[in-house]
Amino acid sequence: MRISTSQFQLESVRRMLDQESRLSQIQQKISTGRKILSPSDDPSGSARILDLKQVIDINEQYKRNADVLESRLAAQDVTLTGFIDAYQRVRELAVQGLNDPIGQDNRDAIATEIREQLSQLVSLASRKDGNGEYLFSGFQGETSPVIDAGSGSYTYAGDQGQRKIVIGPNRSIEDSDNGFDLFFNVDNTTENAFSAVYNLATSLESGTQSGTNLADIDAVMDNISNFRSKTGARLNSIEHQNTVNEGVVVQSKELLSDIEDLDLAEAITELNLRRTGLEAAQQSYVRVQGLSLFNFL
Amino acid sequence: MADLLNIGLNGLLAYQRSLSTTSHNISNVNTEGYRRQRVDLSTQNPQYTGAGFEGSGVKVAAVTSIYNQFIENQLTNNTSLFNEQETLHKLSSDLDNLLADPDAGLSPVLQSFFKSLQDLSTDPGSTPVRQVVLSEAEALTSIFNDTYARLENQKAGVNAEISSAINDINSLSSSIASINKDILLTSGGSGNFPPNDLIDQRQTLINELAELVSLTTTTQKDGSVNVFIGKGQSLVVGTSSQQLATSNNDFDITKLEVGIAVGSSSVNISNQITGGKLGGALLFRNDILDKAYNQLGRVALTLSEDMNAQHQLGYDLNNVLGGNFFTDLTSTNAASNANNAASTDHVYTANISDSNLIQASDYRLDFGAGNVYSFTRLSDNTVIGSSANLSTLSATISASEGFTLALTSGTSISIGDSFLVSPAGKAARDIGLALTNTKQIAASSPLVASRAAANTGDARFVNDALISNTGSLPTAPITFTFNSGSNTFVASPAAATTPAAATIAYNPATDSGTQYQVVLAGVGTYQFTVTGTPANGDSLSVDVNSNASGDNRNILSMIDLQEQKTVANGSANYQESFSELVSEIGVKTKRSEFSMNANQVLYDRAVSSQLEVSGVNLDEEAADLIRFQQAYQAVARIITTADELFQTLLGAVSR
Repeated sequence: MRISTSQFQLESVRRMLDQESRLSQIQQKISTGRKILSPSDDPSGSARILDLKQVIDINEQYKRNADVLESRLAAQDVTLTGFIDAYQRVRELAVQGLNDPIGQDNRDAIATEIREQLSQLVSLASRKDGNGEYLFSGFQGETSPVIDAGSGSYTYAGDQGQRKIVIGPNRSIEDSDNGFDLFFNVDNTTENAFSAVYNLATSLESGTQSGTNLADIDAVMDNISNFRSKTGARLNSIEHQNTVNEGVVVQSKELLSDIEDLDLAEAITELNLRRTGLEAAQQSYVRVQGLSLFNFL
Repeated sequence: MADLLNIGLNGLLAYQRSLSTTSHNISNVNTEGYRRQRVDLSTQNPQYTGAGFEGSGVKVAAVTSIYNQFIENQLTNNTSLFNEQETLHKLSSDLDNLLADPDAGLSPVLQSFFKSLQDLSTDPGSTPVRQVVLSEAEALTSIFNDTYARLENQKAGVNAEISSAINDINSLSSSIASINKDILLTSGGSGNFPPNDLIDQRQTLINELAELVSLTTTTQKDGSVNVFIGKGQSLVVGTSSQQLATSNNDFDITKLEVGIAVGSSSVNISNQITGGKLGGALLFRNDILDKAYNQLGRVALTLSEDMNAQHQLGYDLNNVLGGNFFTDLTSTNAASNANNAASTDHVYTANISDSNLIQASDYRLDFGAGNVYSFTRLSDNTVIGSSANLSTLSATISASEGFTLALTSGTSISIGDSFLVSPAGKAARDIGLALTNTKQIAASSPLVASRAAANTGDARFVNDALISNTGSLPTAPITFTFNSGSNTFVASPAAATTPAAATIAYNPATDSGTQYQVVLAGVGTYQFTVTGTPANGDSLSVDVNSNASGDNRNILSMIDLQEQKTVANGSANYQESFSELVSEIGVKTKRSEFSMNANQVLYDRAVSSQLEVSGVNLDEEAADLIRFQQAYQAVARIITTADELFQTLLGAVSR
């Protein structure tokens, strides 16, 4: 085969440039640590990366949502526990007051303590969350839920809404319960959680106390206990869902790493290979390039 | 002896020419496009003597340059193909990198926006969280706007590529024409003894032209070469050249096309151009860039339409129904063809009727013979429908393409007029935030259900929402009272529902968890799920949900849109639809890279073949130098010998 001088030059230089471009590409991959430098390196992989990042983001967001929900439900749990404790004390006092021999003076004293507990109960029901929103007003987060109109008349100022928080794909959990369900719409009694206590104190003061007062107190305690165990169940669900979500995040991150992270050992082997290739091309060029018949003329 | 002298002289001249040609070759070893030349030697015409023909030495038959026309043509073709793919690859990898930047692309901003909505769902009344939602929404619209602007930059880049290619083509074709002229002058039009160096220069120019556009050449008898592009458009004929010019796209003046002057008007020949940088730029625009506008726009359009529709079903902190969340992108006017009759003043407007059906394509409306409209989807050249009645056509379009088409103004149209409709093409440019303050975010649902305190049963309305609304809300609560005799809820006041006093059949034993819809007169459709067992006379009422700062129901519905497959007829969500654009451009870039590499190999091989035949080899020339020098020296000896013979003769005579 005939070969011309510039053809020889051109082809030698082309071979070196080719080696250099491969070298630069692998060098770039090593310095970024990424297997995919631009989507065309792996089009379906790049689209998959975008989609996986969305999956990871959404699941991390579920965790954020769950954290907020958990803190509000924990606040509800603590508040309802406090409410039950106070009610427990009211019930003890009621049992004492219903005991005939104790006399009116003692009953008045008991009634006074019961009224103390009552103001504590109203304050618990009006509790706010970390963002300054009333926990038990339903959707009316800026309205204090309990209105004390005096003379044992308590009304609910919130609404019956209950929001849901999304903590997983197609999984939402109810947020705090509303005051209507908790304190005002109590099964087995026509009284609400506050009027029952107010009426008990009034009955004791007037000496008209009866078993009905105690039954009302028990009905309210049952209702609140019921909601407290529901709160516990919701907190457990959150815990469970968090574990599931974390699993998805870990798995997606692994997949993501498989797709976009460079296998360094493999890459460095390739780098060495390319370097050797380039050196060989350079050396052979230098050795052959000097040969010319003109040297001997 | 005279013969001997003549033979010697001819030989000296011939080898002088050979030596100078060899020197010419050596000197031009690095000249681009230079093809090595050879002196063709042949015997002088023999002289007839009585003893037959007697040789009379050597002569120079011709100085020819050595090349193979087949290989030259192959090089020209491969130059065009390689440059086309190289330009396509260069432009598409720019776009590829721009769209997929993991830190600046659309994806992270889209996710941040939905994350801010998620945060709002956990604290719907908070002003700072609402502010974050507005900022993220603003960032989302700007990233759409920015990405659109980058596409515009790419379009401008293609325009620049087209005009510079056209300038270069024009200057090259006039140079080729002028070399044709020089060749005609120097060879006297005979074509017998071609001026090799001029022909080399012309071939170099033709290859330079091939870098810009695919071409074919024909060589005339007189030695001149004609050059054609496209479907036989002549660029150079003999000594004259045809100039190309840029012209505007018929529908879009921001798009340059390739034009050629025919008589006094310019004819668009863009769709005939293939190959070279010009072909590559046009291919990129048709195949990749124009589609990217529509694909990006479709994501923006569907997002905006979906969000707006859901937001309008919500209720805000000012106690009014939600408005548009993003700017309204529903209407687009069609662009009129620049060649339409001067009197044509019709304006057609496309209105989105179902954003989920929107395709990533432009459409063309043609007004043809018999006053028939026909409507073509340009992405696959499918005729969607044709009719003389625009509203019939519009109904057909709406059913499959998700938008209606109406004549909004104008009185005159002519047969042959056409209009370009691009429902999504500019959506990414036009999308913006419609909300101006945090209170306008309609996080809550407009209605709320409550049980009467006196209820003894435990029936509830849950998961309730207004799923369509007319813009007004009930003026008084609507009460649903349960009748255990007939197992129905009856609405009151009677006039509040359509039909009046609507009844809902609810059997507590079997129907708990069933979803119902009731049309509230003048309000819209209220949807709710009934659970539990109501007692006779129990009532539930539905009222306007004022000051519900803690309600997140509408935000939850908006969040749901993130993962719903609402784009492209239910095939993708927003993120997936954008990923699809990224991967499609990635695939096309990859393909152009393969194709570029394959063409590079062919091009390199063609260059090598050409150099193999026509390139100068210095060793060969050095050997020739020695060979011709020896021959010259030997021929010089003939002169000496002739002289000696002559002297011998003279000496013999003078005695």
